[in-house]
Amino acid sequence: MTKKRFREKTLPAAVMVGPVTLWLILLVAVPLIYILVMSFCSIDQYYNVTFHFTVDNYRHLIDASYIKIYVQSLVIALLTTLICIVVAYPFTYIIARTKSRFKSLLYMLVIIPFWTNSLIRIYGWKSFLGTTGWLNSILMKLHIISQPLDLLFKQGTTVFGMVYCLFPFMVLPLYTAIGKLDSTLLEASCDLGAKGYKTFLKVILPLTASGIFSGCIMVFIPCLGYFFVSNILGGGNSDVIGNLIERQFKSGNNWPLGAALSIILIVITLVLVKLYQKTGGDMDSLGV
Amino acid sequence: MNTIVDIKGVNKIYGTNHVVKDLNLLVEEGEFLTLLGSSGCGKTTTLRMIAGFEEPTTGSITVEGEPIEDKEPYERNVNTVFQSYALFPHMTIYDNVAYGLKMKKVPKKEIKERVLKMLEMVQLSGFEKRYPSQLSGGQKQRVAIARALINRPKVLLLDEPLGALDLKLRKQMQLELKRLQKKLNITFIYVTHDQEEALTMSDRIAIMHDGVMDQIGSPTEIYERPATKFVATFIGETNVFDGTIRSIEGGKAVIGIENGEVTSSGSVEEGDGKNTGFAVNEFVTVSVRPEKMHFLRNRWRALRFRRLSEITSM
Amino acid sequence: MEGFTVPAVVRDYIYVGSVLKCIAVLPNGNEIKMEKLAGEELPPIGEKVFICWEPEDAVLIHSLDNRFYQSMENIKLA
Repeated sequence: MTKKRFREKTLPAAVMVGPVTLWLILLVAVPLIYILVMSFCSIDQYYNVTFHFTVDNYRHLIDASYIKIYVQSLVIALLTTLICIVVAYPFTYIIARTKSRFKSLLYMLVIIPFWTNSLIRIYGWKSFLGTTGWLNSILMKLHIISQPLDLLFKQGTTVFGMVYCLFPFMVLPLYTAIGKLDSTLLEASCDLGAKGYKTFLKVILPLTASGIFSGCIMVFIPCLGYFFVSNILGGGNSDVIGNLIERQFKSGNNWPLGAALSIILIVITLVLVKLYQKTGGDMDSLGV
Repeated sequence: MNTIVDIKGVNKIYGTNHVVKDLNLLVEEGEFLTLLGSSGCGKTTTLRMIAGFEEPTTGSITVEGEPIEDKEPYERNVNTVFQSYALFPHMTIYDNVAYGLKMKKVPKKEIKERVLKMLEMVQLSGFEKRYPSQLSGGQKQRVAIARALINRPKVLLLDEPLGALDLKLRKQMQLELKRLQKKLNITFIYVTHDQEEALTMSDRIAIMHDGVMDQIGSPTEIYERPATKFVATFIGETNVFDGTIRSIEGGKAVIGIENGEVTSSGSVEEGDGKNTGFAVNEFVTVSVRPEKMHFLRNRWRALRFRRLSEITSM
Repeated sequence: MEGFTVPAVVRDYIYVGSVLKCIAVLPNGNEIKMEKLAGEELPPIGEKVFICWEPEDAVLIHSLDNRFYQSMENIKLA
């Protein structure tokens, strides 16, 4: 390579791509490799990590107590996803297709809480729903109930918290998909004899299916890892895989086990995304 | 001739925008009627009101004698061909064309028969399994027409269906549409801004301008006897002279214009100028089409007339 | 000829294939548009001519003053 060619072609390319590549390597690839390596390590009696290759960590993953947590995570994640779809779809449909001046405002109302730290918002719900919290106080004052409601530390509360946090993730891809709907298609469907629900089933639903699928992935996967929601609102009764991982890195002091769990979670995510891609999902909208 | 669509006193107002102003129009059964005008004249709005996508602010529309204000688009015996074709992208051509019949719960066997026959009629046999994205503009156009016609509507509404096609294809499709209309004997109500298209295809043309129907008549009537200055200048080209009527006698009127006087003959009636005929001293416009004007060969003047080839080489 | 005969000066010819459009200018500055079939003998540009038409071809139209109509390109209101 001549010096001139280097300056004209290679150098500009390197300058443009270089920093990003470096960033990706340092902050993404390296940690991933680190976790991968750690998942095959062991710990000694002092809970220090040793580089003694073992697959024991992966074997531990099929312990009965862990399986219970996996199932619980799946149930919670599925419930959350379902509730999100059912609530978000009509809501997003109305916002996306309204011709009102308040369209942007309504959209922002969904997005803005999204910018606030979810941890703080979940803490807010905890104090709101607690026995001495706002909800109970007001209901008692209005004499609607005589005893405070026991709302916290139930599985339902965890699901509620998950839905609350992940709702915008369902709205965003749905909004894009519904916004792209050509209204003349709906008119054509009506013109040809389809009543409201028929148009929905035969035209609207199929054409927004990718948005729904995208939203499902965006809700389901984080749900498996949202340990702080189940910690704060569920109080240990509704652990998800994320909680397991957290425990290994904190109180459990078993980093290799935690790493193995993380790898499994990553694998599940990749499988789901691949499945999404295979069924024709729009990869761009996943980035949202 | 039976009236199939009766539009009475229809107004459409959007906020402060008075889009259709007191429209009265009778559409005859089996005719090819075109609503012609430039953008914003109200022609598409009128079509959409007949289809059921818009409701008249005041007035009534009846199809086959029945008022349709309360009927949804799918309850009317009317189908629409959209400007953008509006084919369902996620369905095959077969499913697109069969859509209306499926909604009517027609038996599968009959659907298959009718779909294949209709595709043959629009010269798209063999395209059943394809998707709209695989078709050209002209082909999509024909699918849209097939999809609408298969429901055997009494009236077919077409909203500038040929707008997106190139000139040659458009001219071809114009003839095909005309042929189809005559063969099926369905009433076509066609919307366009292309006057040539209107003149080619229509039995009658309704010229709309600023929400008002200026004139309705056959292409010849519209061209040779325009009723308003707008119609005269919108269709084809013309020369206009404004002036005042000096006298009317025996079907002939003398109009004073800037340069002198013009005579207009051929059954000019004297009347009050408002309800019947023309009145003396009325402001009028005289329109003369370019092809009707001639050079006067004056024998006494040495006018030198040359051949075309000599003129263009100058 | 009864209709009208107006003096004009030939200003331009526009060739459109099957027809030839002729623009002539009236003494008051207004333009007249004519259409002639290609192949006819025609006066050259700049020639002073007389343009005429049959009275039956002069169509009378009510002029509604309260409405303003846009004129076509090349047509100037008298």
